[in-house]
Amino acid sequence: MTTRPDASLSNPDFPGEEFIQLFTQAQRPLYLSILSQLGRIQAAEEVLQETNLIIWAKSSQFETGTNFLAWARQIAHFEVMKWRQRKSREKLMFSDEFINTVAQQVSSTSEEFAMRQRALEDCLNKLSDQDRELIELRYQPGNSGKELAEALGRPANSVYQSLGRIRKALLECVQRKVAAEVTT
Amino acid sequence: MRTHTRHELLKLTEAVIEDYATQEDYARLEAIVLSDPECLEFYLKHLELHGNLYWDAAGRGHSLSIPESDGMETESSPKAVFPQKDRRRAWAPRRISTIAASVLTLLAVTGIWLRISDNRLADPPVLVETDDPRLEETTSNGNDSSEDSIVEVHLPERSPSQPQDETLVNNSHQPQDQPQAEVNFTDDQAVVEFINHQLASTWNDLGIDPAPQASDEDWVRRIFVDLAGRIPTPAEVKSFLSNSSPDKRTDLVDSLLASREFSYNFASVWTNLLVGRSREREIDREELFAYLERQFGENRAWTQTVHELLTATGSAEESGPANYLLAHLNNEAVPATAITARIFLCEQLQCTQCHRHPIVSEWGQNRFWEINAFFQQTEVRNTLITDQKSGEKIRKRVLTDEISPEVEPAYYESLQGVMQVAYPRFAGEDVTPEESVSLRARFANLFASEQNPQLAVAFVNRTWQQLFGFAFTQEVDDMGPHSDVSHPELLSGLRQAFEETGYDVRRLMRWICLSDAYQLSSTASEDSNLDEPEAGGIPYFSRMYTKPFSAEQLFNSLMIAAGVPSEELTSRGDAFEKRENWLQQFFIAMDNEENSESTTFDGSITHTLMMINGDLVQQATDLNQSRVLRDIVVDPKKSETDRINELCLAALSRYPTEPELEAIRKTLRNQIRLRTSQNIPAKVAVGESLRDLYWAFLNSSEFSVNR
Repeated sequence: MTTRPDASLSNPDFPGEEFIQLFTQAQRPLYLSILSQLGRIQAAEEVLQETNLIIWAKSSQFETGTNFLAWARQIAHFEVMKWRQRKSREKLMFSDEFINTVAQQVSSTSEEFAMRQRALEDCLNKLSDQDRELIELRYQPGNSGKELAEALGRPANSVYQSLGRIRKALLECVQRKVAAEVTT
Repeated sequence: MRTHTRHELLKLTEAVIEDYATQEDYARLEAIVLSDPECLEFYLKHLELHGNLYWDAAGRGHSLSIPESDGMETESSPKAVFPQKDRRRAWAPRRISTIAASVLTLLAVTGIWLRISDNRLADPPVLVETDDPRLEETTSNGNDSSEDSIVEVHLPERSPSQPQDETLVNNSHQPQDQPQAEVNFTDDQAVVEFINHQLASTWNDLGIDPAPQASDEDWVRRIFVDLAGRIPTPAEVKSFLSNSSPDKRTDLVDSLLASREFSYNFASVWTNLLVGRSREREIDREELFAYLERQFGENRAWTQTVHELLTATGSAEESGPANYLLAHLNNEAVPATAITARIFLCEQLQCTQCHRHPIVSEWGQNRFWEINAFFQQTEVRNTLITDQKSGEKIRKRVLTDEISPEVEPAYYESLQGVMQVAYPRFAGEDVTPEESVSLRARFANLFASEQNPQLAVAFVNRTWQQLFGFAFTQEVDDMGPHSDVSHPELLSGLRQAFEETGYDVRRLMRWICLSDAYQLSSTASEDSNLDEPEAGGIPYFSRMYTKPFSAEQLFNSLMIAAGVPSEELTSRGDAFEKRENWLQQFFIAMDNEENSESTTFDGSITHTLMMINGDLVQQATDLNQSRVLRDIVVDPKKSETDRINELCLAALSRYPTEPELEAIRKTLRNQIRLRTSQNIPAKVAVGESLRDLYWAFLNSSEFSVNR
């Protein structure tokens, strides 16, 4: 991890090293919680960028020793709501009630998060080469299921279906592994 | 969370993730997630998985928008989820034979040790080779096959036609009706070639290597179990094996289709489908059975049978087909409506009784009640009839119609609590009552005709499933715009052929049994792990799937194994009565809106105990009662090898392999030695040891499986 101690020393407004560390560690969970409120990758990406700007701007308000992630999630949730208002003409969106429920639930379930992440890694290794390749292609930067289908010359629905099945298999595999780990 | 909900939730979440969800999908997803904390949890895990995959694979960490954090390692976990291309670890499906495993366990009980060679049998649902003992522990327990027991799904892609396209959602929602002009569907050979061509083209597209041909031993057992509902006798196996005619498979299919056992078997299958196995309902099950046996025996058109089942009148004892509706007219004919749709159309309408179908938006409540309205004139009348012989009064249930030009519509409540009415309407036709014809007769005219192509589609789908173990849809009787068809052109072609040959049931079965796919071995060739419907994948029929015996098949096969002549099995009377009574231990009728049944014939303790020491197994392994066993044991001219061979043949319809024979011989000798050392006379010791061997064969899972 490389930080810039010079900058933080020379600029009193610049957050300290600890803050930066917390900030970077929170990126993934933050993204996941935004994603679960919006459903779509690109939208979540946009909101994450905006959330990060706010977190940065408000860094002085953060009290060391309190839960950084919880604080950041609150900001993220607020940004999700703002984003929704801006896109109010967009029809494909969840309701406030849904978003609130999801936001709340996300903050309360994080213990097994790291376990699931490790399990996923193992589970990916258990895919057949073919499946593995497909899922890697799907998640190439900037790719989507639709573009992937075009690139492969397959009907979009068929690619969606394959992806769905692979993700289902992964979900089940992760769940099993975590269950096994918890009980042993 | 119910499986149904879980499935729907998965689909909806996928639609959101891949950005093809509609506004309605969003709303539906919300409703499900908000209704149940477990659903919420499940949704979150799904999104978390998606997000993690995206985060790692897309290298998201390197493009933070905050300039100050440039170049920082943004990962808390040092390892990305996608490890580098080190994927040599092969995880070829392990060849555990469940059957071999269970034989070993059971043999341990009797003190015999026997090795059944691994690859005699089809692989069980694929397990994954893993280094992690914990994972293995949780996955190898494949028997309680809940949805969680699926280990890995290899993801075949769907054949090019996609039922999800909106264009496909038309009223006859099944495969697109492309004119199959080039095939002459009234020519048997052409239909068989059509099936072969359709399946082979998918194999080619996906690069699937079909399994090799099934051996004659495997095939002869398969065709007997499928068509006659029992294993072949040793004599039947031998005669087939020694037959050198190139047409011997065709000849056997034809002779079985023409046999009494065929009509008996399918009468029994369809009696179960129509009224269940339990005898708790107030109907005459045997009359219905006798009626169906006649229909299959005379090879009546399927439309005719369906028409008669829907229109029959009279008492349970005098009118066989009337028993179908007599069983289901309770609850304002709700079961009759739901079961008619499910059994004859393979459509699950029962949930539309109360609300619009959750996935198929064009299936509203009205559709259910418009069919239901046809049964509104029909009623069950209880009459007392004086028996002419005894003079006693007997209560009889009689199916009859209150024919009147004034139609009483079906009333139902919408989800909003508003009372609605539905008038009889089917296949786009409103039916007004007439003076002389009952409403359900008018319904049957529409239902059992080409106006209702789904009737043929459903019968083809079900028959295919009966013979291959898997249907063209994931659930055989859940067809509709929401369920994908694995081979739409094939299904559509078979539907057309079935219609054009006048709904000829036997011909349909003949085509399927003579197709190339039906000849294949149930042991997959290497690398064909694309074809794993057992693990939830799409069936490609590139091998035969193993089918567990139904309760009836098991009963009949144990009788054959005990040496009961096959003719005795089909004589209705004692044998029928005995079988019916035996079945009762496994099935319990439920009086719910679908008139369903619950069963313990599913590997439960009842099921297992029955195999270990139930009457039938006792009888088959009793030296005095079992003709098969006695003949083999008593004949002094038989060598030890002959005896082992013949016991194996009688139980499994095949000879043991060399290693099996070696192992069995060794154990058998040990057993005999052990017994004689306990002062048991040599003759008795031999008999008992052979009996134990036969018991082990019958208790192997190989025995209870159609391979």
